[in-house]
Amino acid sequence: MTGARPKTGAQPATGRRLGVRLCLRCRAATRVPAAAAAAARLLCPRCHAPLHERRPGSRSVCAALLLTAAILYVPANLLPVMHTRTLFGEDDDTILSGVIALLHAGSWPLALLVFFASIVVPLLKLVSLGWLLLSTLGAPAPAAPRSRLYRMVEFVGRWSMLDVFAVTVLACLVQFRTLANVRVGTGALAFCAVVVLTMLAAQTFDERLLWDSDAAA
Amino acid sequence: MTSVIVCPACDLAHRVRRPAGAARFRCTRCRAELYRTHDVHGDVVLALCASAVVLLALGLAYPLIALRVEDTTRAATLTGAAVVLFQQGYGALAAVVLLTTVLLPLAQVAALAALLLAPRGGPAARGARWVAVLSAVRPWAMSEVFVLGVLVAAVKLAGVADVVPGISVYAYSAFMVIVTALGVLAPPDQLWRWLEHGR
Repeated sequence: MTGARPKTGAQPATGRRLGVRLCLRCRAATRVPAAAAAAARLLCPRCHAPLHERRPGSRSVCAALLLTAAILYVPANLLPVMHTRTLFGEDDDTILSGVIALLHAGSWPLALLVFFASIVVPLLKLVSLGWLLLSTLGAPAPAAPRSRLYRMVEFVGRWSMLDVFAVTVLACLVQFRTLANVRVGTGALAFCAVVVLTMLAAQTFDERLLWDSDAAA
Repeated sequence: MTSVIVCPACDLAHRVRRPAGAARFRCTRCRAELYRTHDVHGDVVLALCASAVVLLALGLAYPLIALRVEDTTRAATLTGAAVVLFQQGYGALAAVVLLTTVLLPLAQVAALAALLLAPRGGPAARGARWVAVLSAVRPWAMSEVFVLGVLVAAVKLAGVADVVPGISVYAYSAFMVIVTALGVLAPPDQLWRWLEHGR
């Protein structure tokens, strides 16, 4: 395999410079003549998916999803995700108090895991995706570390659903009429929405935008 | 045969001599995976799909875990969990849980089986439908996260009551392992190889 990586100082041979477009669905590379590049709708010759140089509306859609997620992040953490009613009284659990309860149950590895999945990861996703989005607008910066950050965010995103699943199982299991009773709280709905929205935002973001503003290019 | 592969992550173009056998290339600039195929026979993958369906059926039929308090026992099933959410007025949450734990992992398995069973030589666009379904569904199939969620719930209850694991925990965990393996065995380039040359 001959990498098309040029010597330092030269422009990298990107698909954009060569007039070659990549189909995001089937990964076929198609040469688009300069005359056809302005056409409104180009289709991949192999699988007939629309061909774009970059994902259309990537920045604005990603920003809108992130903003919605950031707003919902507040109720997700403040509202209870779970109401527990036992003979001895009632109890409301938020995401954070759930982690502390797990710590008191004597299971610190699991508490650490839930702390990361439910508190660190969503915050990390909101902050880093927001920063990555802004970095594509500003002056060129090294793309490799930004690209690593993006891939990490995309990889860990799904694990935030952990708490939603745990609460679901608890609510189904603890149904002993007057003795003990668990109900799902509104916080769980907001939290689930944050996870889904940040996952969508990460998927919408076009990683190639980071390399378009690479300082080395 | 040389062809051009463009990196989906950084747009760098590579001139590649496509090998006939299994191969794996990474982008020379950003290290993203550019191309990956393997030599596992399509029939093996189909067999894995079939066992995944059987294991999911077992996982749906039996309780995940049960809780014993004094002399009453309460068991949670996969679908029961979604039903309880719905009854408590969280229909959207019930839909997300059902989709991410049952329907989308199943769709992933079904789309892969459909692709492998599709008649060869037809227009590529027809097979492309399954490639598109697979790549769209994969991030939303969260079996492994759910298994860990069940574990978290069990630990939270272990101090207060007797937690009894059910058949479904084992069946669903095995399903999760197979679905993960199927994800590794189905990179886009391999899917196209199956579509073009048969399994």
